[in-house]
Amino acid sequence: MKGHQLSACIAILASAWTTHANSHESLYNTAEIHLTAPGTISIHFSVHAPELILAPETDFGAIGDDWLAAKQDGEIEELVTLAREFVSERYGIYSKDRDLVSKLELQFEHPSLIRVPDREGGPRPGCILASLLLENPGGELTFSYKEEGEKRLLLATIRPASFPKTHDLEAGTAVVIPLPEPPEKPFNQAWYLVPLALAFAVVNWMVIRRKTSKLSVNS
Amino acid sequence: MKAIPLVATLILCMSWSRAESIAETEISIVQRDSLNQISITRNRKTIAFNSAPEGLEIEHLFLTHVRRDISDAAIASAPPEKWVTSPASAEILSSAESHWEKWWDDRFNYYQQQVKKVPLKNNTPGTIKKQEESLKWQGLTITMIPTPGYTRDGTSWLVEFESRKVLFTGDLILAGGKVPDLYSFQNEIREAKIGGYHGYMGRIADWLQSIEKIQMLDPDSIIPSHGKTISNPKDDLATAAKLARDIYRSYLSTNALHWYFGEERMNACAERVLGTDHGVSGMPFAEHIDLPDWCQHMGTTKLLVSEDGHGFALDVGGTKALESLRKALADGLVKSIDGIFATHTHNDHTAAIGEAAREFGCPVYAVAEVADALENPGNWFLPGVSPNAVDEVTVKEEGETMKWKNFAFTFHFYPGQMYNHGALLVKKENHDPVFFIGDSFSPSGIDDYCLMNRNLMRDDTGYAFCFRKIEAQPKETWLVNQHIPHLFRFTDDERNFLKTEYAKRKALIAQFVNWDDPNYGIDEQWAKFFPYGQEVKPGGTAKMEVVIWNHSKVERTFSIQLNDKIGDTVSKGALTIPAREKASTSFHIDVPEGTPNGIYLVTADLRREDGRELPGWCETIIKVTP
Repeated sequence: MKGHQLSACIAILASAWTTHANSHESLYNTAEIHLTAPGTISIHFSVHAPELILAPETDFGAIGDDWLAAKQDGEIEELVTLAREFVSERYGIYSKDRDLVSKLELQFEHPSLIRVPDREGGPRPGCILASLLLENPGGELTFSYKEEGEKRLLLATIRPASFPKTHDLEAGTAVVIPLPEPPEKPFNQAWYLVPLALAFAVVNWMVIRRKTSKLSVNS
Repeated sequence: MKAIPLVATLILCMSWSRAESIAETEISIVQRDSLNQISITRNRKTIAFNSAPEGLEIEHLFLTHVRRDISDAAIASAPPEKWVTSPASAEILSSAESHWEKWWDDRFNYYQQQVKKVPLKNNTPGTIKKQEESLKWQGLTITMIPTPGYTRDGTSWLVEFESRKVLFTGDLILAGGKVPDLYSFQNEIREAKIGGYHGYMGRIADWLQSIEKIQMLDPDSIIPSHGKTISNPKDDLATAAKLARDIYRSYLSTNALHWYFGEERMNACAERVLGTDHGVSGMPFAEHIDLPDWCQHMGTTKLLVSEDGHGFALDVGGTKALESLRKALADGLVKSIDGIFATHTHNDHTAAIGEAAREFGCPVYAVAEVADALENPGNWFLPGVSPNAVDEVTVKEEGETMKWKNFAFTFHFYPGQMYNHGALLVKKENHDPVFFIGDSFSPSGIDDYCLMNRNLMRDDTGYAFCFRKIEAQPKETWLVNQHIPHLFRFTDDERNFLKTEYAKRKALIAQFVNWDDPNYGIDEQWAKFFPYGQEVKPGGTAKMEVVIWNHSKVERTFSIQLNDKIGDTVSKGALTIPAREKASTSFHIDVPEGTPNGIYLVTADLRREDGRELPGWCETIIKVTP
């Protein structure tokens, strides 16, 4: 599955709840942590694209639903590059002291999808969705919103069959998110069988050897 | 129309004539209440600025900007090939018609917040002068000086004659260090990454730079397009700059955006206007705690959940909010959505209310000031109005109560963030009262960053009214802003600080704008058409009202004349309105058979009994359809 296809799927998964405003995108930075699939954590960062550039020609007053729609592929790709920097500079996601945010692992939608505003499952108007799909390590996750945030962050955690929980974070603060128990993996089950099989083999070998030595004595 | 040649001007003329007696130079200013008619005659040739007396043969007409009053006066003064403009003005003149063609749709979901006094017709000026370019005329040098701020295309024309400098500045600054209004400064603030909607006085930094540019030029006189000549520019320029900075400093100190943007962006806003040692800090955040479990945050929707598992929504701002409500139902988190209350008319709170109400089969509630904009959005021009109409709205009167499940509701008119705004006081057992005040306050202060929302600074409405509403509730009452997932409340000291600073700002604005009441200077819609837009078939009749809110503290009489571009009829009316009251008068326009389909603008000229004239002040749009 290609990156943009994966992230399109993620976006559709993310569509169920809306935890952030449709307009006034510039008031908050926003992110969502989806804990709806037991084995994975999907995290979506909504990046208000016009704020990524400070070019004189940026008419902030004219930013509306169609701001991204008017962009060429090359411009969208530049914005995606900036969005990647934006996310990696502002957010830290730690599990057992390991930072899970990597520029390389962030997924973005195809430019043709980024251009279409406010579609079902898509980000808010004028926003680019950066997504991260992680294996659920279990335990807890520390979501750090760094000093570089410039404005507040609305971070929503979404769990099955419950209302989203929204955290309102100032830049320079963090929140700890308890994770669901990860399911046992087929690989792990096989791995547990190895010592069992070895022990079984050793016991068998000892039993056989003992029988053999008895036969030798008897003979 | 009064014609008052100014004494100061006559003195100026005499000194010029003395300086070059062969050339016989004369500056004439006919000070009118609508627009000054300014001309210079030399060697029996004449140039003019913005407007010239009727019948005068003009060689060049210099325009300082091209808002509708100026462009209409220019058309009456000289053919466009004689106009001299800046490139910015030329661009506006070339795109006027396409602007209005698109405006039928663009007026919805509108957040640019630019004044709508755009010319009605395209025109191409004969001469365009760039920055510092000059035009030589009859031995005089006339230099283009860009002075944006009050308008985006603001231009001053410097006329140098011997050792004298006279500057024609349009509406940049008026006598006494005043400006025509404050809402014209609304603009994006790129340095702070703040868009037009949140950009209170966003162009004031440009304006201050223009003022400083003029101070450097050190002119002997400034001749504005309205009102008296500024014969002592140094004093008036300094007064104006100080007032502007004081207003902005006051605004920042009570600003709701501090909550969202924090220090960095607010500093960026402050530094560009007040300098690096601005010393402005926002109010410390008010006490705030998490929302209770019975109030769920979904974007700008708050969902109240009853003890027996039913839901009541406050605002449904778009398809995503609607999806969230659907999911809450699908997941069994609520059994039904029993009702929707609309806090105010911005689309991020209303866009999916109609669809949600149809889908969930629930009533929609709103106060009267919100209800009509939900049912008939095309009637209104306000920031961010959604075109998605709501089928039926149950109007709730001020103070009306309603019991829903284990909650007691009281509905309130709440003209805070915008005039068309309500609030819902919610009481339930074992919880302090919660006042859902829409977007009117944040824990850092007042949401008054967009004057197009009509944040009236009057004792009987606006934020003064909202503060009284808060004070009428028990001290332990919490506030909720639809964007913020917290309960918050101000201490007495915090609230008093906000009120005191707001009152101080009102007094400063009263000094800064050239009106008898500051509300004319912050409320562009004190006179407006209703409905704002309507569709009519050829042979049909467009019916409309001009609604005027007399912000003055005395009775006023307003004369109204419609400029009908469809039927070429002249309709007139008059309103005598008691102090602080509103009134309206009706007009109708017969659309002749055979009128081509398209967008037509009708404007209204206003004249107050004290002589103040406002040509083409407000507009209504008529779409002629098959």
